[in-house]
Amino acid sequence: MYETGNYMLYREKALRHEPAEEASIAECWQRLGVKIGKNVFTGLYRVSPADLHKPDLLHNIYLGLFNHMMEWVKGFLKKHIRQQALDNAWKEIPPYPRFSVPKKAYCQIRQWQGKEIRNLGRCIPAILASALRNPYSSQYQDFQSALKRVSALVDFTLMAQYRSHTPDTLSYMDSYLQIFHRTKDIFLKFLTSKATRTQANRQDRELRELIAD
Amino acid sequence: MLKKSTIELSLIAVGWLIKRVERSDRQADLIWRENHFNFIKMHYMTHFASRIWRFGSILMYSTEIRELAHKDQIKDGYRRSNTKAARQIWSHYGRQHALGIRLQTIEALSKVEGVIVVEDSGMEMPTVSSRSTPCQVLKGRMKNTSMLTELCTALDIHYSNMMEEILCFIRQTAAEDHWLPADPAELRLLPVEGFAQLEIPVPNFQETDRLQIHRARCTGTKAFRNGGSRNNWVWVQTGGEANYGDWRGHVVARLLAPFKIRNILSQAAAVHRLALVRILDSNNGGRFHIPS
Repeated sequence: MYETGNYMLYREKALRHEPAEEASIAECWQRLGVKIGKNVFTGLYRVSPADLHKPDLLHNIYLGLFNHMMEWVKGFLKKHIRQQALDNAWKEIPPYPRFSVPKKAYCQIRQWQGKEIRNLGRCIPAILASALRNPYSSQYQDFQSALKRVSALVDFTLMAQYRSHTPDTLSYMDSYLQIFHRTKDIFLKFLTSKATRTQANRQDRELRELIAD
Repeated sequence: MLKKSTIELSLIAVGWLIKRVERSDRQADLIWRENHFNFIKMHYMTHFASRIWRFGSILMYSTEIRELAHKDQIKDGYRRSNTKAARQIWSHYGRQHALGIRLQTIEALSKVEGVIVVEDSGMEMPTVSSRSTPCQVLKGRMKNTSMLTELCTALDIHYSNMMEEILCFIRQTAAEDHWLPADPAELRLLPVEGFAQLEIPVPNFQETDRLQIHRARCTGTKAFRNGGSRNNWVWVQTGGEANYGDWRGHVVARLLAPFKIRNILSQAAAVHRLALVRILDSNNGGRFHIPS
C-alpha cells in the first residue's frame, strides 16, 4: 500500500532534495513507480503540475480501473474454468429502475460505453459470486479472496460517486483501498503486461534453443 | 523385457520432460517477478480521498457531463445543418436553449396568473387548461350486468349479503330527496353497471401538480392476464380526518365490486358510484402502540 499522497508533500520533497541528491531521490521514486521528469507545465508561473490532475470517474474508474479489473477477473475465471458460469449469470440479470439490462453476452462485448460499464460495476460482485458458487474445497480460499478484492474495488468506486462526504466516508474509501492492496496477489498472475510477455517469450525461446543444442 | 533402444528413448523423453517443466517454471517465475500493480490508474486512486478533502466531490469534475454536452451542443447541431456552416452549428444549441427557457417561463407565468397578457395588444387571454380536474374514473365495463342480481352472480357474491350492505350504507348516510330507496324490492329494479377497474389519480411525491394514475383492478373470479383472479387492496376512508388514530380513519380493504347505480324512481335520476369492499380487521384498532 502506498502512503496516501499529498502533493504539497511531494513538492516540498522535490524542492528540498533536487539540487543536492537528485540521483538518489529519482531512484527512490523509481522504485515506487513514479518517474521524475519535466513536462510542459514545469516552470509556469502559479502552476503546480501536480495539482493539475483531477480525479475523473469516466476515464479513471469506469474506462480505466474496471477494464483492468475485468481483465484480471477474466484470467481468473479462465484458470478455474468458470467463464460460462459468468456469461450465464450475466444474461439473467433482471431489469431495475436506472439499470439497463445488457443486450449481448459478456464475452461478445468488445467496446464499452461509460454507461454500460457503470452498470457492470453495479452488478459485478453479485454476478461473480454467482459464477463462483459451489467451489471445490481447494478453490474455496482463492474464490473468497477474489470476491473480496473485487467487492472492495467496487465499494471504493461507489463511494467515490457520493455527492457529499464526511471524514468517515473518506476513511472508508481508504480502508477499501487497503483491503484491496493487502492481498491483491491473487490477481497478480493475470496482470502480465506486453513487455513482460515478450520478455518471457524471449527467455523461453533461448531456453528451447539451449535444450535443442 | 525391454530392448536397450527403448530404454534409451524413454530416458531421453524423461530428460526432455524435466527440461520442459523447468522451462515453464522459469517462465511463470519471470511473470510473477515482473508483474506489478504500479500503473498510473491504480496509483491515482490513493489520491482520491485527499482530492475530495481539498476540492469537493468527484462527480463535479467528471468528464462524463462534458462529453455528453458535446453531443447536445455540437453533434446535434451538425446533423441538422448542411454540415458546412460552422456558425450555424454553434448557434444551434444556444437557440434551442433560449427557446426552451422561454417556453418554461410562459408556462410558469400562466400557472400563477391564470391569464396571459399578450404584449402590445392590450388584451388578456384566459388560459384554458387542457386537463380537466382529476377525478377517479371507473373503467372496464362488465357485460351482462344490468341489475344487482346479475352483478352478484357475475362476481360470485351472495345477493343477500350485498343487499344487506347497501341497505346499511343507505341508512347510515344522510337522507336526501334523491337518495337511493331503502326498500329491497325497489333497489332490485334499479339499473346497475359493474366495472373491472378504478383509476385513482395520485399526486407525485413533492410535485403535486403532476399526477400518477394508479389502477385498482377487480376481476371478481375471472383470471387476470393468465394469472389468478385479481382484487386489489385499497385504502378506504371511514370517518373523518378528525378521527385521529395512527391511520386517521383509513382502513385497508379488498375491492370486490365497483359499480354505478341509477335511481330512476326519483325525478333527478341521479347516478351513484358505489363499491363493495371487504375490510381487513386490524389488530388493536389499527394502533401501532398500545396506549398505556
